[in-house]
Amino acid sequence: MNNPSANRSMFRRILRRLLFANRGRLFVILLALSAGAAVSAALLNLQVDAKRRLRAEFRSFGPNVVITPRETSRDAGLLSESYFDKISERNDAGEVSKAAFLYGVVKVSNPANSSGEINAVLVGYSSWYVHPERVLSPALVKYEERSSFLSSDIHCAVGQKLASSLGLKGAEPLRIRSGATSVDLSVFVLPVTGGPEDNQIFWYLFETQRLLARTKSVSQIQVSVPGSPQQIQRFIDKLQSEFPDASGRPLRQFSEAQAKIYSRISDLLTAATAFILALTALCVMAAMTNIAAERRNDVGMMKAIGGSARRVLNLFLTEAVILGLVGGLIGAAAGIALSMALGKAVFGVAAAPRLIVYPISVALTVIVAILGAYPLRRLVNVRPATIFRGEA
Amino acid sequence: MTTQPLVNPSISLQPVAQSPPQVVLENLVKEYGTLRALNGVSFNIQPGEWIALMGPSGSGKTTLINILGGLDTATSGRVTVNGQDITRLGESDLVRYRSEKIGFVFQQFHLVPYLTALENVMLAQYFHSVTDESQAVEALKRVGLADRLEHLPAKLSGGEQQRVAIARALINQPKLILADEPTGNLDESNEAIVINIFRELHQAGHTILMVTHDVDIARNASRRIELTHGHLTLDTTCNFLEQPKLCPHGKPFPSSGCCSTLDSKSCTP
Repeated sequence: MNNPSANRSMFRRILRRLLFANRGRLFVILLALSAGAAVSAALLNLQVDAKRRLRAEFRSFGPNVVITPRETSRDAGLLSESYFDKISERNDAGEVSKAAFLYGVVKVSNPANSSGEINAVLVGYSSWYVHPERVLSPALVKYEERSSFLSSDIHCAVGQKLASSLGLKGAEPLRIRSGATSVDLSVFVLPVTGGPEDNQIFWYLFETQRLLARTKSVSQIQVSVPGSPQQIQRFIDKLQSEFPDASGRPLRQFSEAQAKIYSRISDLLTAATAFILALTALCVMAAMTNIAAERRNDVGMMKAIGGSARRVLNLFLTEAVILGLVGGLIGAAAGIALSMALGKAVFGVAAAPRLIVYPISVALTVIVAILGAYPLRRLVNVRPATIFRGEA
Repeated sequence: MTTQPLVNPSISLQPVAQSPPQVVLENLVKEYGTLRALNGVSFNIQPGEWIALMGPSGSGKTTLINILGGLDTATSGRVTVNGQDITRLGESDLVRYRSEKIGFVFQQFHLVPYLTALENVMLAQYFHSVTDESQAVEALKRVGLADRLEHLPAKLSGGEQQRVAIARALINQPKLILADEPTGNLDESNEAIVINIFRELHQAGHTILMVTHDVDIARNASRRIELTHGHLTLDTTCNFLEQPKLCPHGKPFPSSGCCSTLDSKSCTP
């Protein structure tokens, strides 16, 4: 007679008993595995999110060509705004996005309180785009999206740090003065970016030019050119020939630096994850060593009554896999939540949960549990007679 | 001291004596380093026999049982069980041999502490072939533990634990029951219960080899074998408590004129 389901049922029954034989130790092992899974999942999530974020930032920072005036140009430090209009809106790879910026230092104050004026950088900008994130920072994209809904027509965007140092909460106007000219603007406070935008004021290019008395001039033009490096280089060469007093250069070096930083962060996170998992395996191994000592007699007896090493090993490995799975499922979920909190605390932006991290963390935890069960694996080599003689 | 017959004639002299031997031990030697635990032990066991294996501590009784049960290997010699030479079996064949042909009962019971009485019995079924809970329940009922099925070993008395171990040993209907001092850890009343179970097993035709130090328990057996320092020094089937000891060459000691001691080295036939 052969009834595999009865044996499977017995297998599950023994497993359940093995798992709950010592609840205290079960808790300790699960805690170790969950903690290991949590930390490794958090680090992996940060790592994956950092990669995604860097890619997204490259895309949102977007421009890969920057056009600035040559030092030998007629009006040092400024370009003619007409260049902005002349830059073609397509190349052979697709749509070109572009934005012109004019920078100037102005005096700013909050008329609603009596605090004095402080210096700030005013950035006038004008853009042409199909995808705004290719030429504007994410904070400015948000401002662009909201600007049409703002109550006043005369408004500007103010970086978070500057707004808080002036006591601006959104309702108060901002007074901007350049020389003898001043203007009061309603304010849209930008979200925190962690970049220079936090201390700057953004206003429309035309208004900024008037205020700074720099009519028809811009400080630089940033362009997002699609295509391969060769296509981008051809675009730059064309610009150089059309605008001899302007200098066009690719932003590749900047990207390469970012890539190197990411690579280092990634290596660091990988090493930290490996270290944490190794520590977890050692913790589990320590607990399993105790269990192995307790189970020596049981294994000797199982072998004496006809249990093969393979069947006994199956029981123990399945036990380890279950522990790894449960610890991994709990820990990885906690770890992803942890990484979101860590991202928020460290970088000011919550790391997005990456689904791929979850199965990877659980699988790693299962592997760690199996490695940690090494003392149990060795146990199946015991000889019953040796155990019963009390020699081992 | 009781005056009851040492061997129950209704069970000791069964016709099985005419059958070919179930177990044949030939010149069995077991050495642990320089220590020789068994020194050329030879004897046969007929089907249905109950043998009391006696001797002082360190005489090689447990070693003999371990080799016979496939738990240990002999240094030399041959052990044939039901025509199969077990000294030539590999590890996987020994596992199968243990699960199919041998039922072990140990002095320390050796139950798995986190499995219930029922599960301990079913464990032997699981390793043998397939579990059958109703059969395991029946086995425990036969040893009087119908109301202890779901008890963990720690919640059972010593006698009850030993009865679980006996049920486990019998569940796969082994050809040979090897019991290593099965009553060694039991009080008198539990000892009586356990011995009664063995008596029933014997009456049912099971072959039993039981290590014991207790002469009263040995009286229940149909045959007595005694080991001293690894030598077989007594092998008798009736009134064995009054039989003279045998020298290593099987002659009565000390009146045989064969040996002056039971030491094989000084024994010259």
